[in-house]
Formats: sequence, structure tokens, C-alpha cells
Amino acid sequence: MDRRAFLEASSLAAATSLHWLRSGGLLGQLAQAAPTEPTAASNGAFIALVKAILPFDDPRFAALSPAAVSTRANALFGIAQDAAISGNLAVFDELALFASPPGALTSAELVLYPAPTGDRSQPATVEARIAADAKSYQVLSARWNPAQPTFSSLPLQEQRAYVMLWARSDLGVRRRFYRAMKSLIMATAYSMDEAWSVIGYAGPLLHFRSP
Amino acid sequence: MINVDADIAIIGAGAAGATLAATLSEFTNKRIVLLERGGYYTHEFFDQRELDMSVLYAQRGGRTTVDGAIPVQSGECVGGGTTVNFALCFDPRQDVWGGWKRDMGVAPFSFERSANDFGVSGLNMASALADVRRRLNVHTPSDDEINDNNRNFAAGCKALGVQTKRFELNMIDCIGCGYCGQGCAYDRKLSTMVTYAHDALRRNVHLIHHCEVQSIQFAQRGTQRVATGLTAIVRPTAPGSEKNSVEPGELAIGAKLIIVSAGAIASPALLQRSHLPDPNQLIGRGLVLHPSLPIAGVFDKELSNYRGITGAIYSDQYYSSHGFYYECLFDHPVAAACALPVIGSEHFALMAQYPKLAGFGLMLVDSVGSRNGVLWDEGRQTADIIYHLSEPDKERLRFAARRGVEIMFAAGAKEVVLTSDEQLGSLGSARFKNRQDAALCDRLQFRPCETFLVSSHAQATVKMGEDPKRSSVNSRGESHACKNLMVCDASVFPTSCGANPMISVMTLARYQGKRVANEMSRYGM
Repeated sequence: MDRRAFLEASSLAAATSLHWLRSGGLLGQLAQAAPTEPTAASNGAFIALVKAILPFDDPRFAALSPAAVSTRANALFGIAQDAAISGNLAVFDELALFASPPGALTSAELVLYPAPTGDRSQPATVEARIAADAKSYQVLSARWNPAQPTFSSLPLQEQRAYVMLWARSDLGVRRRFYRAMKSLIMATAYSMDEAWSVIGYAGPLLHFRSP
Repeated sequence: MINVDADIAIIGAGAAGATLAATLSEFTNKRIVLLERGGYYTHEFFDQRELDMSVLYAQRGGRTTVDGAIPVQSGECVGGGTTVNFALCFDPRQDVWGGWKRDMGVAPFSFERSANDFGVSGLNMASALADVRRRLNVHTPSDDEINDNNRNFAAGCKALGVQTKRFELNMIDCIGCGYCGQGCAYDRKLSTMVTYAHDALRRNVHLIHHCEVQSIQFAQRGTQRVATGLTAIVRPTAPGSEKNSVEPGELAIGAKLIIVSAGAIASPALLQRSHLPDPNQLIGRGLVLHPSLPIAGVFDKELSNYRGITGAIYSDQYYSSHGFYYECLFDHPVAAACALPVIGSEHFALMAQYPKLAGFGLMLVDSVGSRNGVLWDEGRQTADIIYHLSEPDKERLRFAARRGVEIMFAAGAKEVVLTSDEQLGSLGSARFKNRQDAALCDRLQFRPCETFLVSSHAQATVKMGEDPKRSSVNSRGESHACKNLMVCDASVFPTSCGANPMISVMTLARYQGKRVANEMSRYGM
């Protein structure tokens, strides 16, 4: 399978994958998966996303490390074993796909985010949403080095700007991916005792862990 | 296959089911089984950690509308929502019940203590409510129990002339740990788990937890359709739960009366997959969620926010005119981090000031939309929650957000934050630096997944009324299609009950429980 076909298939899996895009059950997968080594395919993108979403560039956050957070995320949510999440991460990593998304992604958009009558908050057609996204992407990517075509290879501040393009995309499936990954990474990090002292949260009054 | 023969089977051990089980076992000597999908977790299990305690919630807290936009929270354990809620009590709103009588022919539900509804001596809403209030010790917290977060909220409201009130709470001698949402480790919150479910178990009600009801079975007797029983799967008991009363495996229960009290998402889903006749396709439709938007403020100095009674003050100033409440609440770090806007250092700028944050929420009493509802998907074996905010509801949310931002500034916040990733006019993100900018709330679009809204009060999916063309159950809660199948939970409310629903649900359950106990012959008992 060539690269384009792989990405097409990945986003199809993502779009139709029920436990990912439709169930929304992020926390639902909690603790079902044992910690394992993440697969190489999406691991780079995931670690980069962890670094973009969390403030490791702030010295106060030194009690946590990207490796510790991503290992814990795998243990809690089984990201590495989830083909749909890996597929989505691969699509997310490939910058060129932002302006011209795979067909499967647009079909998912049609099903999941039809514009209800009277809703003026977003363009009614998927084509118009893609065009609007492409325009924001063009403005942002003008300053990027075309030799570095992936999210993982961008400088940190540009990575964060790219993540926010997803957060504010006109495509609902992109906003959903952002919301899901942000929740997953935030929940992973801020449930760690190490994060609590950083933010001045004293934590439970009870000092035991459930079985 | 385990077979259980019962007189009454109750599905769901939450606010409604536990109250029904206790009431029916108090006034009858019938054989009652109480089925709960979640586990039976007691105070010893509650460790005050957000992720660990997500097992107390439906789909471990990960259930959302199908578009991923709104988490739809409900308790899934013995006690249901009452195990994980903030103990906020509102008496049933008589204006709302009056509207249901007028619009849906719901009757009698008298609020006079002298009334004998359905010809049952002493049966009325007032006495059912009084019973519930007494059992749950519903009371107003004292001045010294109010933490800084609540005080600030009250001060902000007062400065703008917005009336506030003190919540009534179902607690006793609260220690103020701040972990209501993770289950009370001290049994000071009087959830149904420690009250009515406890009473029911003491009276030999047969509780089966980890029990997933697959479907309800029916038979035709003459011209009548009757419910004969149900089938279920009992899952292995999860770590930390109390022991179960039966072994894991398939379960078949025969009963003369089946009462569905699984909440406004699971109840319609069960009726749909049981193929209960529904000629007008009403079951599941007309869902309301009480979508809620958190509002945070950054203060100059540290305040008690996550400790103390989380919700002690609210405002219903705008209930009549705009249909929303402000309710003081505060999140622990996981929920706070997920909700606060943007990412990276800008997000951390807020998290790093966690001890200086204040919070309250606006809760919209949303309108009934026929496009909104619960749909059981047979292929995927999941209940889809389909929900779109109507344009008028969005407009009310914008007004409430704007006024909320102003209140937070008036309380003394130096910065006010909405849980939104939208860019509002000149603001790069939903962080307001001065009160004048509050007007930018008018630009909120509420596109799915961009602004964080949350729901804890799903209601109105198996509506009660006397006209089968517009409702699914009658005023007794009996299915129009099958008399010995009752629904009794927030599903049967024709619209939002107009407030946090716990006490309304429990009052209804106490009322219907007393009624059933006095009308046994209706159900062949």
C-alpha cells in the first residue's frame, strides 16, 4: 500500500471506527490496556502532540516528562493498540493533508456534522469548510520550511499554532480530534501526583489507592 | 442460565430505582429484585482520585453526544447519580408540574397534603416530598460551611443586583473534603446508596449489580400485551465492588411488574431494543440535557475553592426571564485541565494559578427539540445521543455567558475565562481581561467540540401524558402499550423539570412506589 492509500485507509478507519469517532468514549477505554511499547508509526506524532499540548517548555513543569506522560497515556487509554487513533495521528502529522483532506474524512464530516437548518455558525457544505480551512492553513504555513512536511518536525510554537488550526477548524471531525486528544493528554498529565505540586493542588485527603 | 422469579423487577438502582425498592419493600411483602448495570461501591472504595472514580460513571465518564460535543454524565453504580452528584437539592417546581398537567394532561400529582391521589389515602406529592427530604436530611448549610469560592460568587452577584440563594443539600455533618463527584468517602452525603438502597437491602430486596439488561419480553393475553420478564447478562464483579448475589452469566427474571428506572439515556434505549410498540416513534425523542458552561475567574490571592462544600450558592434570578441558573461549582485538576481553553503555555498560565481560581457554571434549562433524542443502534449495540442546540437556546447561552463574565469581574476577578477555544472578536482566546469585553460573548458560536459544554441532567425521553399520540407512558408511569411495564425516572418528565432533578426524581419514585403498593391488583398481585 502506498503512502497516500495508507492515509486514506487510516482516515477511513478513523471515520468509521465506532469506538473512536462515534462513541466518544475516551475514558471508556481506561485501564483496559496493559502498558506496551507504542508503535513507531504514530508514536512520533503522539509525543510531539504531548509536547505541544503540555508546557514542558516551562521550567515549573519539569516534574513531568513527555516520555512519562506518553507511557501513562498508553497504559490508561491503550493508544498504541488502537488502529483508529494511530491512523488519525498519521493523518494529523501529514501537514499537506490539512488543505486537501482524504475523501474518507470528508465523508465522515457529512455524516457526523451536517449543518442543521438555521445554523449559521459554519459553512453548510463540506467543500466550503475545506476551502476555509485551506485558507487559514495557507496563511499559517507560509512561514514553514517545505522540506519539513510533518507536524512532528515543526518548531514548538508552530506546532501549537497548527494544533489550534484543528481546534478552530471549520470541519467538525477536526475539532473533535483536537478535543479528544486534548482531553486524553490533559487527563493523563493532571491525574499524576507530580503535576499536583506544580499547580498547588494538595490532592486527596485519603492516602491510599484503590485496588 | 440463572432463573429468578419475582413479583417486581426494578431496572436501575439510582435516584428512582433505589427509592422505589425501599418504598415497595416498606409497604408490601412482595419479592423485589433491583438490577444495577454498574457496581456496588461503598465508602471504602472511594479514593478521591478523578480517574480511578470514573468507574462510578456511565462509560467511565466518556459518554458524549454522537458529535462528541457534550459529555453526558450520569452515575452508573448503586446510588446512580446520587453517588456522584454535588448533593444539590431543589424541591419539584410546582409551576413546571402545573404546566405538565395543562399541556400533557398529567394528573393528579397534587401538592396539597390533604389530597388522596388515585384514590389512595394520603398519596400526594407533598407527602412524598416530605418523606424524601426527611430521609435525606435535606437542609441549608450554615454560614461557616461556605467556602471562598461560593462567597466570591455571592459577592459578585450582589454587586450587580443579582439575587442569590443558598442551596439545600442532602448531607449530614459534611467534612468539606470537596470530593462529592468522586463518591463520599465518609458517608456524609446521603446518596440513595446509603439511604434508600440501604433500606431496601435491609428489607431483603434482592440486589443484582453488574447486571446488563438485554431486553424485556412480552406476551399477548387476549387483547392485552403484558410484560413477562427480562433477560440480562451479569458481568464478573469488578475490583473494589461489593460481592454480587449471583454468579456471572446469563440471567432470566420473571416478574408481574417491571419498572424501568435506568435514567433518560438507558431507559429509552432498553425500551427500543425490547421492541416495545411505539407507533408514533416517540420513545427517545425530545431529550433535554441542561447544557452547562463553566466560567472561571483568576483572583489576586489564594482562596478555598476545591475544598469545602463545592456548591452552596446559586442564583435563579434569570430562571423566569431567560431559563437558566448560575450554580457555584469547582473542578478538580483533571476536569479543570480538560475544560480550560487552548493548550501549551497559555493553558498552563491558568493551571499554574489553580489555587487562585474561582468557578461557577451556568446551567441552561433547554427547550425540547424533536430532533434531539436517544437512538439505540442495534448493529453497534450503543445508545446514540443526538443533540443540537437550537438557535434560541444558543442566544440564551450567550446572554448567560455575558452576564456570568460580568458577575465574575464584579466578584473581584482580574481575569475571567470561558471553557471555550473560540476566538471572540479582538480576544485571541476566551480570556477576558476587563469587564467591557464581556459583550464579546455575543460572538460565541457553540460549534460542536469548540466550546466545552457539559450535561449531567438528561431528561424527557419517555414522556408522561394521557394522550398516546404525544406521550409514551401515562400518569402512573405505565407504558401506553403495556400496563405492567412502568417507567419511573427523569425520562418521564415531558420537558426539563426546571432545576437539578434529583429530588424531583426521588419524589416521583416515592409517590409511584406508594401508589403501586396500594394498587397491587392492577398488576395481578
